[in-house]
Amino acid sequence: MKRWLPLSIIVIAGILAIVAVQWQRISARPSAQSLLSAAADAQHEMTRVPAHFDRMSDSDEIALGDQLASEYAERWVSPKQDAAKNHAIEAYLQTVGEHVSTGARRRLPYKFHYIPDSDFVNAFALPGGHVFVGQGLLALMQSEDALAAVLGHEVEHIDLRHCAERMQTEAHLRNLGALGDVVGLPVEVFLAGYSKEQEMEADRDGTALAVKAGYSPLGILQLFGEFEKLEQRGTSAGDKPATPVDEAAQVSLQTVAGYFRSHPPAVQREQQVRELMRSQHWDTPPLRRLRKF
Amino acid sequence: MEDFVLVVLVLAVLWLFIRTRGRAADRRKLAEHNDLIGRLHQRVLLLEEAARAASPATQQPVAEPIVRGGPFPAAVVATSAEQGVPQLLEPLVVAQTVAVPVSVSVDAVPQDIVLPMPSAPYETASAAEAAELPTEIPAAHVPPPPPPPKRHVSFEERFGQNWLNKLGIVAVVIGLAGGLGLLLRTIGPAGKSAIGIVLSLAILGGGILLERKQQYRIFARALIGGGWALTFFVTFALYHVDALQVLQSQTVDLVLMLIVAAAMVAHSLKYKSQVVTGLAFLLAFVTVGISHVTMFSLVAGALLAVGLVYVVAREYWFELGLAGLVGVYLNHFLWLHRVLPDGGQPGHPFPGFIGSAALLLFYWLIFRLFYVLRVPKTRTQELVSSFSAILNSVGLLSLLKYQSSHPEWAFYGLLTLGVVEFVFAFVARRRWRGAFIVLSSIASILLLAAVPLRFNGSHWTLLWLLEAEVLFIAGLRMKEIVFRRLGVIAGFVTTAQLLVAGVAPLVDFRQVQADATHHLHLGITLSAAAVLFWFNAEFCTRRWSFIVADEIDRAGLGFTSYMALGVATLALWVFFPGAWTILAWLVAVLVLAWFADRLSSRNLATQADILAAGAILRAATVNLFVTDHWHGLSLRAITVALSGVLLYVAMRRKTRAHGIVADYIAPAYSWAAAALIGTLLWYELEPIAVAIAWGVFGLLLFEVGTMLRRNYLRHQGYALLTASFVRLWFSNLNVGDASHFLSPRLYTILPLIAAYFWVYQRLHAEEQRAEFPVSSFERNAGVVAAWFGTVAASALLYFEVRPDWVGIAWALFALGLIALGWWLQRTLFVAQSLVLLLAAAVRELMFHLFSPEPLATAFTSSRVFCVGAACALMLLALPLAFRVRSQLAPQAAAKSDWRRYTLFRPEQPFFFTPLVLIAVLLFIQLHAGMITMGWGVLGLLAFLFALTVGERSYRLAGLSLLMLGVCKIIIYDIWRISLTDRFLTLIVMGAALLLVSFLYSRYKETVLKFL
Repeated sequence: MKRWLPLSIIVIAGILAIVAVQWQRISARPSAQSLLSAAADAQHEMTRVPAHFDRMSDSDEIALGDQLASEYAERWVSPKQDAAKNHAIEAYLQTVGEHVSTGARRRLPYKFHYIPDSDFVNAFALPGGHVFVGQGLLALMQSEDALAAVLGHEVEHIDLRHCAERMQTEAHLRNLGALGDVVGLPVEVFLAGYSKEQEMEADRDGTALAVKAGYSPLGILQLFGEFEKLEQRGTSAGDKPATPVDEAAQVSLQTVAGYFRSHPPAVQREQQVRELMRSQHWDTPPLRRLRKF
Repeated sequence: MEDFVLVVLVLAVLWLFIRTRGRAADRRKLAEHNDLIGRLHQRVLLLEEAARAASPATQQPVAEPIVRGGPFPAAVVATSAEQGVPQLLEPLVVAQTVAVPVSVSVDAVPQDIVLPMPSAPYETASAAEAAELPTEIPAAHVPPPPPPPKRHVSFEERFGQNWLNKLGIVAVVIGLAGGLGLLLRTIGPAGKSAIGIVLSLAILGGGILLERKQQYRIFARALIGGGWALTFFVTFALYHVDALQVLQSQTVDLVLMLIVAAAMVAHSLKYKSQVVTGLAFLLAFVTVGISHVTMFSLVAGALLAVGLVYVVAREYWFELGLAGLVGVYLNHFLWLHRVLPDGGQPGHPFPGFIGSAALLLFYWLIFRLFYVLRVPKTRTQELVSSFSAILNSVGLLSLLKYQSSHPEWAFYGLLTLGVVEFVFAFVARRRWRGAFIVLSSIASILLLAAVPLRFNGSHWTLLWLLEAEVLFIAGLRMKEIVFRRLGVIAGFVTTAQLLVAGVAPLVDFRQVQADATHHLHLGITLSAAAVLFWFNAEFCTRRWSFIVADEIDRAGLGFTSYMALGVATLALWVFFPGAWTILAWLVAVLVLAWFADRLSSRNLATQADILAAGAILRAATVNLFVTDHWHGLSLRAITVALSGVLLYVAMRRKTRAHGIVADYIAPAYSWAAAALIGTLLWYELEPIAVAIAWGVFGLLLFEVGTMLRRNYLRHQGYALLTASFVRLWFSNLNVGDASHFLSPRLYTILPLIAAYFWVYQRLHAEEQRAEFPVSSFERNAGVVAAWFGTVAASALLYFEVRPDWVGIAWALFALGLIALGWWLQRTLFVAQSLVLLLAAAVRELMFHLFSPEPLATAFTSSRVFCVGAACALMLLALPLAFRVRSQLAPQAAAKSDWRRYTLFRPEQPFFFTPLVLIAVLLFIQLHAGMITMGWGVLGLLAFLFALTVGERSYRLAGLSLLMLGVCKIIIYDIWRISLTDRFLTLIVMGAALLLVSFLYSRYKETVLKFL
């Protein structure tokens, strides 16, 4: 009897768990996402100590960042008829960005660039203070507060040296000896995203910058809602693999493809911001309208 | 017409050639024999003469030499009395030399004596020569016999005797035939015919007369052959050749030709030659074949057949019988083909149908009677006879079919024929077993062939099945192996028919569309076949073991048993289509297993395994992809789950299959069941529920295996638990939905953690009880399960707890583990606590200490709080660590490796880890001189604590910190920090050092005691 009681409890607990999952129809497609996130975070953490002692100076970082930015900016040259509009948008980004970056730890010359490509639903940062925002991402924003949070997010990637560490890591991997060779790094290196932990850090401190600059944290929550819709479309529950073998193949492919794309789910990012709002007692002023051009 | 003449002539010449060749060979042999006899006779004479010469007092009259045989004419041999002393001849030289001791001197023997020619008289030696011969011959010196005199056969003799007659008769025949043709213009048909008849009879008669004389025998036979050929031709020409046509009725001509043929046959019998008689019959059959008479010629053919059968039976000429059979049926076919060029048309019988059929049956009957009643003497005769018997049936059936205009009678005809054949078979059974086998086989085939002509579908198959079984049972009852084998073969044929005609169309149909029909008729037929086959193969072989005494029968019935399996499998598939098939098959597996154990039948056991494998394969390829529902329940779940249960039940079988020695049944079946059910869970449940389901299932298998002492069940449990552990990393940990009240990740992983630790605990308890020896594999499995639990719990904490608190959570977990290790006295938990401790330390170091402080964060997420809390928890574990050290002290003494200072001294890591973390925290959090003061205070506290617990390493750590502070002051603080900080630092550090020194002095004995 003594033995059967704990066994029964375990079995019953397991059965109840199964019933609960089936009842609620919780269908999360198997993937290596959690493992990838943990591995990326662990790797990032393990490299923190050596990176701490191997840091690039601010001046070197700025110089490299300027070179990279001038190269990347040439990829998205806008047509002459849109030049004025794009300049105006870029000036608007610069205004908001400067306002937000005043609270950053590092005093760097932050510059904000506009990518006039509607398919580019992304933003990325380069070492030294350059931030690029895509037209597609701007289209998802419904307020200036969301823009401020995004710019703050990218600023924090620079502020927390995520970009610099990524650049140094890639330089080592590609055996780029002199710093000048780093200029040859493809932009995809900085587009790929960072570890889950780094993204969460950037969300946390970037939203804090935006709030400190007087923006509402509700802006970024709205944007996370858009991200969540996109995620659900991409990982719909109806696409269950046909056999266990198919599932294993999918997981393997995702592991290979997604090693450097460990974005945390939008719901987690939203949860962190809400937790900060509660713990820091952030105000929620009315959202500012995003300027249209 | 001319062609026919030439054919006849060629045949005649051929016949003559064959005859003369044979005769020539005979003559050569005869000549040699005669020569030998002559030489021997001569030698005897000489020896007698020599003997008489040796004893002259006894002069005896020499007897007349007798010349026996020989081709030479009666030679006159002069006696010795007439010719004086006989002349000794040279020793005969023959192929078979016989040594005859003679008292004759070699010198006295003339060397050039030659046997005289037939026409030459013997030359004998003169008396004077004979007187010179020595009277005494030394006994020791025996001269060799003189060489035999060679008989010289001249070319003239050979040519005259052997070839002239042949040439002559050929010339005569050709001349007569040609002459008759030449006479076409001058003599009328009657005259020509008369001349032909006279000449042919003259030649024939002359040959018959001359044959009486030995010397003319060869010549005579040539004449006879030519005479018969010419007679036959002339008789033929009486109607069929215009120039010689004197008859107006073909019937009359046919009768005459038959008479001539019959006479020829009768005469040929005299020579006892199958070839000769065969040629004669050939001519007769050709006669019938070329005639244009309707039924009458066929009747003649029947008479010919009777005659041939009589001759064949009398002389045991089976080859001739075969040829005659072919000739009879061929003639009938030729006639039928003329009458019915396109064969019989249903509903349009031809006038001679009944007569023709009767004739065919008559042919068949007489040849069949011959086959049954005349027993062959040699093996070759048996084969020829049996082939004829088969050909007889083939001929009959083919021609009946050809002329058939009532196909509805075919069934009755074949049935009747089959019965009659069986009757004949039994008649022949006692006389000649070969005939019994052949006729029984023919009868069986006929009876089988009859059925499809009247029945179709399942009736057809059932009747065949019935026939096969009747044959088999008859063979059983009568102890007749032929019937049993026929029954088995009939069973094979029935199965083939069933598969091709019954099952194959259904397979095609079901592949194209879903089919829920049960096809009762087909299913019942298949089932009946299976039951009968199994009855024969498994029951009868045991009840009447003599039926498998022969290797062929054993193999045949063995195959029948497996055929029964195949048919039964199909029957169940027919009855239970779709997803239900595997259940039916597995029930059949249980039935087979029961019978296998009951009858101790390895065949049935093997079949059970084969069927089980088939069911598993079908389950994996069909049932797992079924998405239909049955009364609201998933059909897949019902069928596969039940299949698993049935497989577990089937594992209780005892009898093993062929070729397998190991006790595999229970492990194999249970592994299959576990794999099926595990896969079913993957298909039926949501992804994150699969890991729990596997874990629970694995746990249950483990418990059942422990209870029943079945290792393979436990191994299955381990496999499932391992699978659940792997799966939770890819499924359960991914669920991060905050919309639920309780995190799904939490309540899906916690039961698994509990299961892992439960398994570990059970295995550990078993090992401690030592009632049943636990293998190293089981022991390791327990350890692995415990690590599964700890790693899963750590992962759950990592993903569930806020990132800032992960270190704290791990430190708390480490505290819990070491408490558990102390309470249960298990080093495993101590080891796990140390691993967690390390993980927590690394986490705190990397996440909090070496990363920038968040811009906005609550105090509970701040660096100070998180690192401080974690260190506090680590230090809280120290009392437990000391207790653990005491518990493990006896074990530590036996160790000499790194474990002695870590695993068995947990208080060391649990002290130094937080110490280092706090020191680093102080370094990062404070500035300038505050760092030094902080280290000083920390060192002092460490030292005091060391004195309390009496731990030397702690004391040294405290001292080291103090010294580190001193070094910092000297190297950095004095030169870099502000004056205020400098002095403050010096004061605090100094006080700390003084206090430590005081304590050293105060507690000198205690310190020395623990040094």
